[in-house]
Amino acid sequence: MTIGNVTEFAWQPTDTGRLLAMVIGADGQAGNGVQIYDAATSTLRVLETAPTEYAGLSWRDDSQDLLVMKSKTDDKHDGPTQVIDVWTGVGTAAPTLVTLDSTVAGMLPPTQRIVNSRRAAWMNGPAGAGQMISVGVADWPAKPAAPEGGRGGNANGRGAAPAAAANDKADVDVWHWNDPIVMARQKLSVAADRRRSLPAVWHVSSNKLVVLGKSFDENVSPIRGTTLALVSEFTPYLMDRSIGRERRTSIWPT
Amino acid sequence: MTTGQRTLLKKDVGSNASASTGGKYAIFADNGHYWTINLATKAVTNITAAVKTSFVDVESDSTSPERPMFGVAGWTKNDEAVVLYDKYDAWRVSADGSTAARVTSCGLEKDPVRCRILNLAPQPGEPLDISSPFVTMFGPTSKKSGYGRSPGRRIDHAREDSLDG
Repeated sequence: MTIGNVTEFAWQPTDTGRLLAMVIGADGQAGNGVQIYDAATSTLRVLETAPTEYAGLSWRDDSQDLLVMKSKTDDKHDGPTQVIDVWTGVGTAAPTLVTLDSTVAGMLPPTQRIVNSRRAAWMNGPAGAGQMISVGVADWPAKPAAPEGGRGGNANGRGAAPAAAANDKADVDVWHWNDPIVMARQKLSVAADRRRSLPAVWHVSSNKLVVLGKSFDENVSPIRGTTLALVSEFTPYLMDRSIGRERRTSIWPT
Repeated sequence: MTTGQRTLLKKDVGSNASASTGGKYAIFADNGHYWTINLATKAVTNITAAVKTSFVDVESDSTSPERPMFGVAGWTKNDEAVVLYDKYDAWRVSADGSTAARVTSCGLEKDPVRCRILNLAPQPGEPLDISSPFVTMFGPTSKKSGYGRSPGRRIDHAREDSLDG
Protein backbone atom coordinates (compact mmCIF):
# COMPACT_ATOMS: atom_id res chain seq x y z
CA MET A 1 0.00 0.00 0.00
CA THR A 2 1.29 3.45 -0.88
CA ILE A 3 -0.13 6.60 0.62
CA GLY A 4 0.91 9.90 -0.89
CA ASN A 5 1.08 13.49 0.34
CA VAL A 6 1.63 12.46 3.95
CA THR A 7 3.01 15.48 5.83
CA GLU A 8 2.90 13.97 9.30
CA PHE A 9 2.13 10.62 10.89
CA ALA A 10 1.90 9.10 14.38
CA TRP A 11 1.42 5.55 15.60
CA GLN A 12 -1.00 4.86 18.40
CA PRO A 13 1.28 4.78 21.49
CA THR A 14 0.07 1.64 23.19
CA ASP A 15 1.60 -1.81 23.47
CA THR A 16 -1.10 -3.18 21.22
CA GLY A 17 -1.42 -0.04 19.11
CA ARG A 18 -2.38 -0.82 15.55
CA LEU A 19 -3.57 2.56 14.30
CA LEU A 20 -1.48 4.92 12.23
CA ALA A 21 -2.78 8.48 11.99
CA MET A 22 -1.66 10.54 9.00
CA VAL A 23 -2.06 14.13 7.93
CA ILE A 24 -2.55 14.51 4.20
CA GLY A 25 -1.41 17.80 2.75
CA ALA A 26 -1.62 18.38 -0.97
CA ASP A 27 -1.01 21.33 -3.24
CA GLY A 28 -4.14 23.43 -3.42
CA GLN A 29 -5.40 21.79 -0.23
CA ALA A 30 -7.64 19.44 -2.22
CA GLY A 31 -7.87 16.18 -0.32
CA ASN A 32 -6.27 17.55 2.83
CA GLY A 33 -7.34 15.82 5.99
CA VAL A 34 -6.63 13.13 8.54
CA GLN A 35 -6.58 9.46 7.60
CA ILE A 36 -6.29 6.36 9.77
CA TYR A 37 -4.58 3.16 8.69
CA ASP A 38 -5.48 0.07 10.69
CA ALA A 39 -2.51 -2.26 10.51
CA ALA A 40 -4.50 -5.20 11.88
CA THR A 41 -7.07 -5.16 9.10
CA SER A 42 -5.01 -3.27 6.53
CA THR A 43 -7.80 -0.78 6.01
CA LEU A 44 -7.56 2.93 5.40
CA ARG A 45 -10.27 5.40 6.22
CA VAL A 46 -10.71 9.13 6.18
CA LEU A 47 -11.34 10.61 9.59
CA GLU A 48 -11.89 14.12 8.29
CA THR A 49 -11.19 16.05 5.14
CA ALA A 50 -11.34 19.79 4.50
CA PRO A 51 -9.47 22.34 2.35
CA THR A 52 -7.24 23.59 5.14
CA GLU A 53 -3.86 22.90 6.75
CA TYR A 54 -3.68 20.12 9.34
CA ALA A 55 -0.79 19.59 11.75
CA GLY A 56 0.16 18.50 15.26
CA LEU A 57 -1.15 14.93 15.42
CA SER A 58 -1.05 13.63 18.97
CA TRP A 59 -2.41 10.42 20.48
CA ARG A 60 -3.35 10.32 24.14
CA ASP A 61 -1.30 7.73 26.03
CA ASP A 62 -2.85 4.28 26.27
CA SER A 63 -5.96 5.24 24.38
CA GLN A 64 -7.62 5.55 21.00
CA ASP A 65 -7.98 9.31 21.40
CA LEU A 66 -6.38 11.60 18.85
CA LEU A 67 -6.05 15.34 18.42
CA VAL A 68 -5.00 17.49 15.51
CA MET A 69 -4.77 21.21 14.83
CA LYS A 70 -6.22 22.74 11.69
CA SER A 71 -5.96 26.26 10.37
CA LYS A 72 -8.89 28.60 10.07
CA THR A 73 -8.78 32.03 8.47
CA ASP A 74 -11.21 34.87 8.06
CA ASP A 75 -11.24 38.10 6.08
CA LYS A 76 -10.67 40.36 9.10
CA HIS A 77 -7.51 38.93 10.60
CA ASP A 78 -3.95 38.48 9.45
CA GLY A 79 -2.96 34.83 9.45
CA PRO A 80 -4.86 31.80 10.70
CA THR A 81 -6.09 30.69 14.07
CA GLN A 82 -6.12 27.01 14.98
CA VAL A 83 -9.11 24.79 15.56
CA ILE A 84 -8.46 21.70 17.68
CA ASP A 85 -10.19 18.46 16.68
CA VAL A 86 -10.31 15.70 19.26
CA TRP A 87 -11.57 12.21 18.41
CA THR A 88 -12.24 9.61 21.04
CA GLY A 89 -12.50 5.94 20.13
CA VAL A 90 -10.73 6.32 16.80
CA GLY A 91 -10.45 2.56 16.44
CA THR A 92 -14.17 2.01 16.89
CA ALA A 93 -16.87 2.10 14.23
CA ALA A 94 -18.12 5.50 15.39
CA PRO A 95 -15.43 7.80 16.78
CA THR A 96 -16.69 10.87 18.62
CA LEU A 97 -15.46 14.28 17.52
CA VAL A 98 -15.19 17.29 19.84
CA THR A 99 -13.91 20.57 18.46
CA LEU A 100 -12.38 23.64 20.05
CA ASP A 101 -13.12 26.63 17.86
CA SER A 102 -12.41 29.72 19.87
CA THR A 103 -13.91 32.01 17.23
CA VAL A 104 -17.32 30.38 17.19
CA ALA A 105 -17.75 29.89 20.87
CA GLY A 106 -16.41 33.32 21.79
CA MET A 107 -13.94 31.75 24.17
CA LEU A 108 -11.31 34.30 23.29
CA PRO A 109 -11.53 37.98 22.46
CA PRO A 110 -11.58 38.59 18.69
CA THR A 111 -8.07 40.01 18.97
CA GLN A 112 -6.65 36.67 20.17
CA ARG A 113 -6.16 33.31 18.51
CA ILE A 114 -4.82 29.83 19.12
CA VAL A 115 -1.43 29.50 17.48
CA ASN A 116 0.35 26.60 15.83
CA SER A 117 3.76 27.58 17.19
CA ARG A 118 2.82 25.78 20.42
CA ARG A 119 1.56 22.29 19.62
CA ALA A 120 -1.64 21.21 21.31
CA ALA A 121 -0.81 18.48 23.82
CA TRP A 122 -2.64 16.11 26.12
CA MET A 123 -2.12 16.89 29.79
CA ASN A 124 -1.78 14.53 32.75
CA GLY A 125 -4.53 15.72 35.04
CA PRO A 126 -5.95 13.91 38.06
CA ALA A 127 -8.36 11.04 37.60
CA GLY A 128 -11.88 12.31 37.29
CA ALA A 129 -10.90 15.79 36.20
CA GLY A 130 -11.68 15.12 32.57
CA GLN A 131 -9.39 15.52 29.63
CA MET A 132 -7.27 18.65 29.47
CA ILE A 133 -5.35 19.85 26.43
CA SER A 134 -2.72 22.57 26.46
CA VAL A 135 -2.64 25.15 23.68
CA GLY A 136 -0.99 28.51 23.04
CA VAL A 137 -2.83 31.82 22.77
CA ALA A 138 -1.45 34.97 21.17
CA ASP A 139 -2.62 38.21 19.61
CA TRP A 140 -4.45 37.98 16.32
CA PRO A 141 -3.70 41.19 14.43
CA ALA A 142 -6.20 42.70 12.06
CA LYS A 143 -5.50 42.40 8.38
CA PRO A 144 -3.49 45.41 7.24
CA ALA A 145 -5.30 47.84 5.00
CA ALA A 146 -4.31 47.78 1.34
CA PRO A 147 -1.76 50.52 0.59
CA GLU A 148 -3.16 53.58 -1.14
CA GLY A 149 -1.54 54.83 -4.31
CA GLY A 150 1.09 57.55 -4.03
CA ARG A 151 2.28 56.82 -0.51
CA GLY A 152 4.60 54.15 0.77
CA GLY A 153 5.68 51.02 -1.05
CA ASN A 154 4.34 47.58 -1.55
CA ALA A 155 5.55 44.16 -2.45
CA ASN A 156 5.46 44.93 -6.13
CA GLY A 157 7.61 47.98 -5.70
CA ARG A 158 4.93 50.29 -6.98
CA GLY A 159 5.04 53.61 -5.18
CA ALA A 160 8.31 52.71 -3.48
CA ALA A 161 10.94 55.37 -3.04
CA PRO A 162 13.87 55.20 -5.40
CA ALA A 163 16.71 53.02 -4.13
CA ALA A 164 19.14 55.91 -4.00
CA ALA A 165 16.83 57.89 -1.71
CA ALA A 166 16.43 54.87 0.59
CA ASN A 167 20.19 54.60 0.92
CA ASP A 168 20.34 58.19 2.11
CA LYS A 169 18.11 57.51 5.09
CA ALA A 170 19.85 57.26 8.42
CA ASP A 171 19.11 54.39 10.77
CA VAL A 172 18.01 55.61 14.15
CA ASP A 173 17.50 53.20 17.00
CA VAL A 174 15.84 54.63 20.07
CA TRP A 175 16.38 52.66 23.25
CA HIS A 176 14.87 53.86 26.48
CA TRP A 177 17.16 53.39 29.45
CA ASN A 178 14.31 51.80 31.34
CA ASP A 179 13.88 49.13 28.68
CA PRO A 180 15.24 45.93 30.27
CA ILE A 181 16.09 44.36 26.93
CA VAL A 182 18.87 46.06 25.02
CA MET A 183 18.31 46.96 21.39
CA ALA A 184 20.70 44.41 19.94
CA ARG A 185 18.95 41.56 21.72
CA GLN A 186 15.54 42.85 20.67
CA LYS A 187 16.66 42.74 17.05
CA LEU A 188 17.95 39.21 17.41
CA SER A 189 14.81 37.92 19.03
CA VAL A 190 12.24 39.52 16.72
CA ALA A 191 11.36 36.26 14.99
CA ALA A 192 11.15 34.33 18.26
CA ASP A 193 9.08 37.07 19.85
CA ARG A 194 6.54 36.81 17.06
CA ARG A 195 6.07 33.13 17.88
CA ARG A 196 5.50 33.73 21.59
CA SER A 197 2.22 32.60 23.06
CA LEU A 198 0.54 32.36 26.41
CA PRO A 199 -0.19 28.85 27.71
CA ALA A 200 -3.85 27.93 27.97
CA VAL A 201 -5.80 24.82 28.89
CA TRP A 202 -8.87 23.50 27.11
CA HIS A 203 -11.13 21.44 29.37
CA VAL A 204 -12.68 19.14 26.81
CA SER A 205 -15.72 17.89 28.72
CA SER A 206 -16.85 21.37 29.75
CA ASN A 207 -15.53 23.03 26.56
CA LYS A 208 -13.90 25.71 28.68
CA LEU A 209 -10.69 27.47 27.71
CA VAL A 210 -8.60 28.91 30.55
CA VAL A 211 -5.65 31.12 29.67
CA LEU A 212 -2.98 30.50 32.31
CA GLY A 213 -0.34 32.97 31.19
CA LYS A 214 -0.60 36.67 31.86
CA SER A 215 2.67 37.87 30.41
CA PHE A 216 5.65 36.59 28.48
CA ASP A 217 7.91 37.32 31.46
CA GLU A 218 6.97 34.24 33.43
CA ASN A 219 7.27 30.48 33.34
CA VAL A 220 4.13 28.40 33.68
CA SER A 221 4.63 24.72 34.53
CA PRO A 222 1.61 22.43 34.94
CA ILE A 223 1.98 20.00 37.82
CA ARG A 224 1.42 16.38 36.79
CA GLY A 225 -1.60 14.69 38.27
CA THR A 226 -3.15 17.91 39.52
CA THR A 227 -5.12 20.83 38.17
CA LEU A 228 -2.45 23.22 39.42
CA ALA A 229 0.41 24.93 37.67
CA LEU A 230 3.45 26.67 39.10
CA VAL A 231 4.14 30.16 37.82
CA SER A 232 7.52 31.79 38.25
CA GLU A 233 6.99 35.43 37.47
CA PHE A 234 9.89 37.83 37.09
CA THR A 235 8.43 41.06 35.74
CA PRO A 236 9.59 43.14 38.75
CA TYR A 237 13.15 41.88 38.30
CA LEU A 238 13.68 42.31 34.57
CA MET A 239 16.30 45.03 34.90
CA ASP A 240 18.35 42.97 37.35
CA ARG A 241 18.13 39.97 35.05
CA SER A 242 19.22 42.04 32.05
CA ILE A 243 22.61 42.66 33.60
CA GLY A 244 23.14 39.14 34.83
CA ARG A 245 22.32 39.93 38.41
CA GLU A 246 20.06 38.08 40.77
CA ARG A 247 17.10 36.37 39.26
CA ARG A 248 14.23 36.73 41.64
CA THR A 249 10.86 35.22 41.01
CA SER A 250 7.49 34.98 42.60
CA ILE A 251 5.68 31.68 42.67
CA TRP A 252 2.01 31.20 42.22
CA PRO A 253 -0.26 28.23 41.74
CA THR A 254 -3.04 28.65 39.28
CA MET B 1 -5.87 25.39 35.76
CA THR B 2 -9.64 25.40 36.10
CA THR B 3 -10.09 29.07 36.86
CA GLY B 4 -6.80 30.78 36.04
CA GLN B 5 -6.79 32.43 39.44
CA ARG B 6 -3.48 32.77 41.24
CA THR B 7 -2.37 32.61 44.83
CA LEU B 8 0.93 34.04 45.96
CA LEU B 9 3.18 31.43 47.51
CA LYS B 10 6.51 33.23 47.98
CA LYS B 11 7.89 36.52 46.80
CA ASP B 12 11.42 37.43 45.90
CA VAL B 13 13.12 34.07 45.59
CA GLY B 14 16.34 33.11 43.87
CA SER B 15 15.30 30.61 41.22
CA ASN B 16 12.42 29.19 39.29
CA ALA B 17 10.36 26.72 41.23
CA SER B 18 9.73 23.17 40.10
CA ALA B 19 7.10 20.76 41.27
CA SER B 20 7.73 17.41 42.89
CA THR B 21 6.93 14.24 40.98
CA GLY B 22 3.80 13.62 43.00
CA GLY B 23 2.68 17.21 42.88
CA LYS B 24 2.73 17.75 46.65
CA TYR B 25 5.63 20.18 46.84
CA ALA B 26 7.41 22.91 44.97
CA ILE B 27 11.13 23.42 45.43
CA PHE B 28 13.30 26.45 44.82
CA ALA B 29 16.74 27.73 45.75
CA ASP B 30 17.41 30.93 47.63
CA ASN B 31 20.37 32.28 49.56
CA GLY B 32 22.37 29.10 49.16
CA HIS B 33 19.68 26.76 50.41
CA TYR B 34 16.85 24.69 49.04
CA TRP B 35 13.35 25.43 50.20
CA THR B 36 10.16 23.43 49.73
CA ILE B 37 6.62 24.70 49.66
CA ASN B 38 3.91 22.31 50.76
CA LEU B 39 1.26 23.07 48.15
CA ALA B 40 -1.54 21.96 50.47
CA THR B 41 -0.55 23.96 53.54
CA LYS B 42 1.58 26.64 51.78
CA ALA B 43 4.27 26.01 54.43
CA VAL B 44 7.72 27.15 53.29
CA THR B 45 10.64 25.19 54.76
CA ASN B 46 14.40 25.51 54.46
CA ILE B 47 15.26 21.84 54.04
CA THR B 48 19.05 22.15 53.84
CA ALA B 49 19.74 24.40 56.82
CA ALA B 50 20.88 21.48 58.98
CA VAL B 51 22.62 19.43 56.30
CA LYS B 52 26.40 19.25 56.80
CA THR B 53 27.39 20.12 53.27
CA SER B 54 27.00 22.89 50.73
CA PHE B 55 24.77 22.60 47.69
CA VAL B 56 26.15 25.80 46.21
CA ASP B 57 28.66 25.84 43.37
CA VAL B 58 30.97 28.46 44.85
CA GLU B 59 33.53 27.89 42.10
CA SER B 60 31.11 29.00 39.38
CA ASP B 61 32.21 32.03 37.38
CA SER B 62 28.64 33.28 37.09
CA THR B 63 28.40 37.06 37.50
CA SER B 64 25.29 36.78 39.61
CA PRO B 65 25.77 37.45 43.33
CA GLU B 66 23.58 34.41 43.94
CA ARG B 67 25.82 31.42 43.31
CA PRO B 68 24.24 28.61 41.25
CA MET B 69 23.24 25.38 42.94
CA PHE B 70 24.55 21.96 41.92
CA GLY B 71 21.01 20.88 41.14
CA VAL B 72 18.13 18.60 41.93
CA ALA B 73 18.29 14.96 40.81
CA GLY B 74 14.62 14.22 41.42
CA TRP B 75 12.07 13.11 43.96
CA THR B 76 11.57 9.71 45.57
CA LYS B 77 8.33 7.76 45.67
CA ASN B 78 5.32 9.58 47.16
CA ASP B 79 7.34 12.80 47.39
CA GLU B 80 8.94 11.57 50.61
CA ALA B 81 12.30 13.12 49.82
CA VAL B 82 14.14 15.12 47.24
CA VAL B 83 17.59 14.10 45.98
CA LEU B 84 20.02 17.03 45.85
CA TYR B 85 23.59 17.33 44.65
CA ASP B 86 26.55 18.82 46.44
CA LYS B 87 29.94 19.06 44.76
CA TYR B 88 30.54 15.31 44.70
CA ASP B 89 27.53 13.46 46.01
CA ALA B 90 23.80 13.02 45.93
CA TRP B 91 21.87 13.53 49.15
CA ARG B 92 18.43 12.31 50.11
CA VAL B 93 16.73 15.12 52.00
CA SER B 94 13.20 14.67 53.31
CA ALA B 95 10.59 17.04 51.98
CA ASP B 96 10.23 18.71 55.37
CA GLY B 97 13.98 18.87 56.00
CA SER B 98 13.82 16.61 59.03
CA THR B 99 16.31 14.03 57.74
CA ALA B 100 19.22 14.00 55.31
CA ALA B 101 21.58 11.25 54.23
CA ARG B 102 24.12 10.60 51.51
CA VAL B 103 22.97 8.49 48.58
CA THR B 104 26.52 8.24 47.25
CA SER B 105 29.82 8.66 49.06
CA CYS B 106 32.06 9.70 46.21
CA GLY B 107 33.20 12.82 48.05
CA LEU B 108 34.46 10.84 51.02
CA GLU B 109 37.07 8.97 49.05
CA LYS B 110 40.76 9.86 49.09
CA ASP B 111 40.57 11.17 45.55
CA PRO B 112 37.02 12.54 45.34
CA VAL B 113 34.94 11.79 42.29
CA ARG B 114 31.84 13.66 41.19
CA CYS B 115 28.88 11.26 41.04
CA ARG B 116 25.56 12.04 39.45
CA ILE B 117 22.58 9.71 39.41
CA LEU B 118 21.45 8.18 36.13
CA ASN B 119 17.70 8.36 36.05
CA LEU B 120 16.63 5.18 34.30
CA ALA B 121 12.91 5.70 34.77
CA PRO B 122 11.15 4.59 31.60
CA GLN B 123 8.80 7.57 31.57
CA PRO B 124 9.49 11.22 32.40
CA GLY B 125 7.95 12.38 35.61
CA GLU B 126 8.38 9.09 37.45
CA PRO B 127 9.95 9.02 40.92
CA LEU B 128 13.66 8.41 41.34
CA ASP B 129 14.76 4.97 42.54
CA ILE B 130 17.80 5.50 44.78
CA SER B 131 17.95 2.06 46.36
CA SER B 132 20.98 1.14 44.28
CA PRO B 133 21.38 3.78 41.62
CA PHE B 134 23.67 3.80 38.65
CA VAL B 135 25.81 6.92 38.58
CA THR B 136 27.95 8.82 36.15
CA MET B 137 31.40 9.53 37.58
CA PHE B 138 33.91 12.23 36.84
CA GLY B 139 37.28 12.84 38.44
CA PRO B 140 37.88 16.61 38.64
CA THR B 141 41.62 15.99 38.98
CA SER B 142 42.12 13.03 36.66
CA LYS B 143 39.52 14.26 34.14
CA LYS B 144 38.51 10.64 33.69
CA SER B 145 34.90 9.65 33.53
CA GLY B 146 32.86 6.50 33.72
CA TYR B 147 29.85 4.75 35.20
CA GLY B 148 29.34 3.04 38.50
CA ARG B 149 26.76 1.81 40.95
CA SER B 150 26.28 2.97 44.47
CA PRO B 151 25.03 0.34 46.91
CA GLY B 152 25.14 2.15 50.20
CA ARG B 153 28.38 3.98 50.82
CA ARG B 154 30.58 2.23 48.30
CA ILE B 155 30.97 2.64 44.58
CA ASP B 156 31.28 -0.64 42.69
CA HIS B 157 32.83 -1.18 39.32
CA ALA B 158 34.16 1.12 36.67
CA ARG B 159 35.44 3.74 39.04
CA GLU B 160 37.10 6.35 36.89
CA ASP B 161 37.20 3.99 33.95
CA SER B 162 37.82 6.22 31.02
CA LEU B 163 35.18 6.21 28.36
CA ASP B 164 37.36 7.86 25.82
CA GLY B 165 40.38 5.68 26.27
